[in-house]
Amino acid sequence: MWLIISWWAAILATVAYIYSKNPKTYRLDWLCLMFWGLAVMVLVDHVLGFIIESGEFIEISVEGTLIGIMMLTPILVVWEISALISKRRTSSSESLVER
Amino acid sequence: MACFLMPMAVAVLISLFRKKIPNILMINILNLLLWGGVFGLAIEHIAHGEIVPYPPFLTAGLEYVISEMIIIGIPMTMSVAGIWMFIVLTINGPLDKFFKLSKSSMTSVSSIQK
Repeated sequence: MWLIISWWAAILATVAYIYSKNPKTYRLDWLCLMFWGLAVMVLVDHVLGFIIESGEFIEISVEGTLIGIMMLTPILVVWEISALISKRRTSSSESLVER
Repeated sequence: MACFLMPMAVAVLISLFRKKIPNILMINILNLLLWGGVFGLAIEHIAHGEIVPYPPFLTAGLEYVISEMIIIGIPMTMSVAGIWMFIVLTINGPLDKFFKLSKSSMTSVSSIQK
């Protein structure tokens, strides 16, 4: 289930990046790349796990859904911190230009 | 068990030596791809009880850890590196004439220093 969640997160972040007016201000490029890195790694993990151990490729369960959401949390935290720092730097450079 | 340790090791090395890597390689992209996967997989391993916050930190035996790092960690790292290489070749390299992404504003990634 976390495979589906990680890929949806990557796709939604990419859509947000494409349609955002100023994606660099909010570090949406960082968010996209981190989510895609996660999506690819989870896909490789699932494929190799399916090949080696068989079983279900995608397991639909509440536990899997919760783990999938939890996996996004550290990426979102890192992104938010970097976006806040980037926004603060943009604001301070704009105020310096105005003076 | 510890498949993410291999990409994490590569991500740490890149983070330490990224200033020595030429800008044309756009190493920030590989760094972000790796760290995103590492953060997520670390949480997944903690949720499954495969990683604990006290020594020896890994609940599985060393033979399982090493075999998983080799069997899953290396293909994982190579897949991400392959995507990074494709992006670099598409933007800066011979594939640019096909995709023309270098003219797009989507290709530059905010630097960590900025």
